[in-house]
Amino acid sequence: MKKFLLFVFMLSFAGLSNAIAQTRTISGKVTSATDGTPLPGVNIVLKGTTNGTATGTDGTYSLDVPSKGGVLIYSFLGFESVQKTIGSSNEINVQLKPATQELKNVVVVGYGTQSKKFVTGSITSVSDSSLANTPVTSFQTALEGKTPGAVITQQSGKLGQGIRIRVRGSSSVTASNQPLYVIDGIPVTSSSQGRIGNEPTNPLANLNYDDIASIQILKDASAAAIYGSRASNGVVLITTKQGKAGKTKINVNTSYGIGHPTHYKQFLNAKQYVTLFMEAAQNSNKIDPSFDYVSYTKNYFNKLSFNTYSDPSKRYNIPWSRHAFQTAYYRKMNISASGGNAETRFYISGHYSNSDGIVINNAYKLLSGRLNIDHQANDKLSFGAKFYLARSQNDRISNDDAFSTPVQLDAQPPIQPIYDPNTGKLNANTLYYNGLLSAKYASSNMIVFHNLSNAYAEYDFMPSLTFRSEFGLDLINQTEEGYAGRETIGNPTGFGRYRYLRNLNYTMNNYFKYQKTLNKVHSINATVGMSYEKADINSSDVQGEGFPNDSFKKLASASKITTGSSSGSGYSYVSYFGRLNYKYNDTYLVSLSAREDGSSRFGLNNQYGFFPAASLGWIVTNESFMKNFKTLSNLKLRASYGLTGNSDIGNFDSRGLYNGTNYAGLSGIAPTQLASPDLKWETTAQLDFGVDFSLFNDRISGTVDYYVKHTHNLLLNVNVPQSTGFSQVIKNVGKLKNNGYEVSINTQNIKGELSWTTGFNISGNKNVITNLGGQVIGNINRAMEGQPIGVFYMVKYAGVDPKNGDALYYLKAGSDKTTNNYSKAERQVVGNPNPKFTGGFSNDFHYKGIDLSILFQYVYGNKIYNAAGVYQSVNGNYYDNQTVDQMNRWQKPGDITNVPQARLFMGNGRQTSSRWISDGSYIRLKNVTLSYNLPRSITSKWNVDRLRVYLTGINLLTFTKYKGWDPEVSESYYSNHISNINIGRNFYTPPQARTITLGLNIGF
Amino acid sequence: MINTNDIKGYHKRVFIMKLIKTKIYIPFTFLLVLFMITSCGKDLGINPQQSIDASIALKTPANVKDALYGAYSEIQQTGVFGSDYDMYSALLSSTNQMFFSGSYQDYLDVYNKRQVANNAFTGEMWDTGYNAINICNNVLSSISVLDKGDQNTIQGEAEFIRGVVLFELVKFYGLPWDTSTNGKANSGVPIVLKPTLSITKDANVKRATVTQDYAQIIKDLKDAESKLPKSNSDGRATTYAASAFLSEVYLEKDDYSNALQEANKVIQSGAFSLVANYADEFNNSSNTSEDIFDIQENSQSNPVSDNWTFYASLPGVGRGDMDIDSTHFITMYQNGDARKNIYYVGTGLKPGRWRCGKWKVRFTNKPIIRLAEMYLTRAECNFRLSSGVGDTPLNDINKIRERATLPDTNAVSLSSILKQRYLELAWEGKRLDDVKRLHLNVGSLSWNANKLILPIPQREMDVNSNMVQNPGYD
Repeated sequence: MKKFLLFVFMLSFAGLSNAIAQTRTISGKVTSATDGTPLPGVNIVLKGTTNGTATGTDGTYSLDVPSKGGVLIYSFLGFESVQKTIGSSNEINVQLKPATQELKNVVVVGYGTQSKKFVTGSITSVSDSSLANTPVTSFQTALEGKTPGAVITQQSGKLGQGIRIRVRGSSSVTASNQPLYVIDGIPVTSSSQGRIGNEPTNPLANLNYDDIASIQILKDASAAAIYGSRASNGVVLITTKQGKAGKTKINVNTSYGIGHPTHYKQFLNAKQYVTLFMEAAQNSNKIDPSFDYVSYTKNYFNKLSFNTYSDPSKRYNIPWSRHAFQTAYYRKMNISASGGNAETRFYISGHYSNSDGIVINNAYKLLSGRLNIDHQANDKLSFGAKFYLARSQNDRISNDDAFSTPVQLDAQPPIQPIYDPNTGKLNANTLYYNGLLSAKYASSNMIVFHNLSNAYAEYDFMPSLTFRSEFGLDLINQTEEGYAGRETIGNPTGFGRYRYLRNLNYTMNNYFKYQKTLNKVHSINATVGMSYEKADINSSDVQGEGFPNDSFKKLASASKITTGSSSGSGYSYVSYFGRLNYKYNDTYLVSLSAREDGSSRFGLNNQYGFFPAASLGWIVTNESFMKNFKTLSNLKLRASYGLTGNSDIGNFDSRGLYNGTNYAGLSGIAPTQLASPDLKWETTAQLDFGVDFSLFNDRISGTVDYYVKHTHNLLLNVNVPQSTGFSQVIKNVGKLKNNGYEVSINTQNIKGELSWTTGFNISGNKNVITNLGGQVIGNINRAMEGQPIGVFYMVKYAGVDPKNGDALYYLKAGSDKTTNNYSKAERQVVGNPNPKFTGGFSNDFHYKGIDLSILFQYVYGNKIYNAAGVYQSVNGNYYDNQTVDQMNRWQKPGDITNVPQARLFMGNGRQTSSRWISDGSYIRLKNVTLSYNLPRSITSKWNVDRLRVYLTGINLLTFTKYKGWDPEVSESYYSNHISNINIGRNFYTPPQARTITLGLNIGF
Repeated sequence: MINTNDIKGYHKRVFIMKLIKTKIYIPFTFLLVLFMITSCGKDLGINPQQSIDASIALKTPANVKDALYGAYSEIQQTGVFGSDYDMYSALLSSTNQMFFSGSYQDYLDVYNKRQVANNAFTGEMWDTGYNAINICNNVLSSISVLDKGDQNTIQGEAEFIRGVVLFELVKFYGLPWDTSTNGKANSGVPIVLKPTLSITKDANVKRATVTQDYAQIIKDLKDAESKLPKSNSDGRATTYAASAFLSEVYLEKDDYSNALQEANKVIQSGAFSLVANYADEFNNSSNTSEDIFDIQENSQSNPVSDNWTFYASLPGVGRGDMDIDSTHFITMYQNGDARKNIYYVGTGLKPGRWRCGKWKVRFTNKPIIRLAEMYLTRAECNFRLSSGVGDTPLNDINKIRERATLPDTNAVSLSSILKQRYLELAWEGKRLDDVKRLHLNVGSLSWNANKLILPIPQREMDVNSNMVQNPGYD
């Protein structure tokens, strides 16, 4: 027996040595294709086996392979992989090209990435790094005109304030309509954290755009449902830059610029003002002889003008509205470095920017630093971390509704001087409080220390199965401090306020990624995991008065603390998700995803929700029957359907609540909210059809999408009769629908030394509220059944009666009959603030080192309501300065005009009506950038890789019929969140800035 | 050959070896551990920090009392006694005695008697008023939770607040007291006696008649009068406050006999006395001897919009929107009348105009009913009934005159009594009530004109299908 075994053993050994004798050794050197430098750590593997090795520090390698040969795969992070078939030679040298196209071909989806070719969802991708040079404070503004499907509106010319974004329309009436923002896989706080009483701010303004590598907007259910209950409004995925192996690259980007308002509104000068108001007073005397309007006005004007108004040679003629503005300087400096090797890669940056607002006393400064590190510990384990700390300071001005806000200087009569001639100080004897006093003696700023950091670890159990764990946090430490001196209104002993807020928002993600290709044609990619997110918000607020003098601004010096309070809140989510992508032969694509979300925001009856989605794709051009159809280089058809949810409501909306009250020191409680225990998720079902195509070898490429979104279980603050003691209760009651299209086309018109590419995109969305349970929400803007959200609803203005100058109104919708009795006129739908379509049109030219890119951005079909019209465009009803068009007032029988007769205090044409609704369509020359890249022959002499000089202008020209400040507007005073329904209104809202900057970009 | 089936556990071992070889067990155990760690202890039960849940809010005696204090806090708001009731009384009842010079067109419209149904401000009294009523209803439905010794007082206070608020509501939003229209459907305002715990069809209340409203007001105030103590802490209601308001209610419905009884009760109690110097009755941070019921305020607890904002014009105080006309009003005070000195020329915003100085110092208490009014009511009722209950009309009027540093008069007439009432209580929210009950004209409008009644808020009309708008606003 022993001998037999020994024989078998020797035989097998022989077989083994035979096998050993049948190997060969392949060796060689791997270098970079760009500069020939050796690449250490390049992974080399024999295809179909686990037999592999890596290059040494000199780039050389050596690998034993079977004598029959095979294919060797060379791969290295940041470089395009290369496959080499083993031939007769035992030496194979390889050159690897850097993967410059990497970003454009890879799309970040939730919890992973996908190759753009095989995406079946609808995703808009922006990875143009030069957008970082746009001189704006919020990165979202820089994206305008480049994001089909996402309508971006900077609501006001004030810096650092909330930006309205609608991805495929508004999906909710009361819950937030803003998308979910995810940075490097971690959801972040994006809603305003500012105090009530001023307009919403934008925490994402604290992001440094130069750190952003790419932005993806997930628009349809298939792309977004992996985020389940947060995804109805779309998801914006932001990926920050990562280091690449290779030589360390240093980049310096600096720019300097000047800005002005895009447009100045025209108001009456002194002569026009006196003429109009004396006429108004005389007309009122005729109507109501019991009061002498003319004398009253003369007396008042004398008081306001220090007795100069009646003498054209002496009177003041001050363009008060211009004093709200200043020249706005913009400065930026950004330095970054990235590099590393196969094991460790880093990206580090530092940023400083300082922007003045075009409105006085408004400024925004950002100072930030970032360090992103990735480390490959061994062939199974990798981990990394990203640290970001920013300090921003936003010098703020009052909200649009306050008398002290600079743009309300519009209302001051031109006959008033800026300075009191008797005292030489700022004039306090003005029609309205002189906002310049607040500009000089008051200040208000918000300082935020914003920390966005995360860490991850990835472990490869098997080549096909990876486990990833991430922990990230978004920590906002914010102080808002304000002081108003004695000269300001209502503060004879000074007034100070201090608000502190800390918002800690942290997330833990744990998930498996599985990737396997079977039989070369079946490709499976799956993700399964869980997520836990919690937010903890703490704030305190103190106000005081009685300061010794205006040099003391901290509340420690206030002799009386008038209010002081602290409060807290929080929410949490527990989620489980999974996604399965299946690809057959690179031609047929299927994707399934599902997410189960639970949130503390919902009542115990309905805490969890389930959100599935599915999509299909067909890459037609990979079919054999398409092989001869050379014109079409790519054609992909896709369709998706799924459910997403909206959970962005108040933290305790499902509960009945009693809050504390104070009756001069006697504390009590009172009911503030009715219980709604069955409250559950709003759900949106979205169907999407899309086509991605490219023709003539990618000379023409584009995407077309058509979608339908049905939202039901809308969370509505259902109006209830106030006689119940409540004005509203929250219920899942309504339904609404969005449908629309997105088209984007890119063409390479001319290729060669002179190249010219064009990009065109257009998106249209139609929103209609189908069921509100019979409710009507809102006053001037409404949410009502059968209409788009925010529709303007008011009495319709019918012009002026030529016989007598009375303002006329239509009696009711659909009728031509008019009346001059406003009470008799019925309110009706008079306009839609949502645009019919929006988009961008860009042209990029490149010749040798010169680049010229021109971007037009357009919005069409929306209406804007000037809510200040009742004060400033009201034919001399009250002493506010009027817009120049009011000089066209009716004066004698037979006059045909749209401006009623001037009648002081009589309210002729003063009531809320469509008189101040106008068309807000515009096309704007949004961005022109001319740049010059010095030739390498020159720059290499200074050891510089790249030297680029650029001149950028934003908002240079605007073509619009809108006569107000700026057609890109949506005021939001007095609410610290972006309103869903109050859209398209202007109330002394400052215009956008037209800014020109000169910049320098140096790469080492 | 070995039969593997014979070997015990062979297949099992093979299977386990295969498992180990394919290394599947590692991720499986990890998955298991992972889900165990991550699923347990995860916190979805986060509670509000500045509120308590309504289901437990009224379960203890302390909480029920707290809710009553919450009702006081509600009537301190602008929309009840904070400011609106006397602002609107002044705006509606005045022609050239004052002028509204502020920029808010919605107030200007009321001054011009041109307000429309969607006036942005006139609905505030309705809203705040019914909020206060709901809080009272909550308290009243939980009286049994209280300790026996507290039940009467708390019940009395809640009925008091509910009664006086309903009184304000019917005076502004309902038809004036007029026997020819009192019983007319939709002449009054809705009567709500149950707390709102959820929204049912009952939320679409109907308007009551004026008769029903007054009956309910009197029922509440009479019960309050019987249950309230003679004195109370923190400026809260007393039995005398209930009596004083009852005198107003009876006066408004021309029930002079009962008005007389109630006013007399207050005076005879001896609990109150006129402040020696007229100006000292106002702008105090605590109740005076003359105050029967005041709204308590301090710098941390006060209405958002208050009378100081509208009436005052001093450095840093007030917008000076209510201009008092010297020719048509201040000249009504004869020389030597101390009450004339309460008016001053403003030095703040819009300087140089006459202002009423009853509201000069912010965050001080606001007298709602004071003893002087009781004298005036008693005098008028005694005169009308030709009686002398408590004292003669002449003596009562002379008390008022003496405090105003005027010489005594020898005789009184109805018109001289009513004039003293006007001069004494000017701008304190009583004028419109007097205009309507005395059937006076306001300019060209008669006492029962449509525009002297505020519209039912447009929002209420939109939401409640049973609500009927006042005439002249459709």
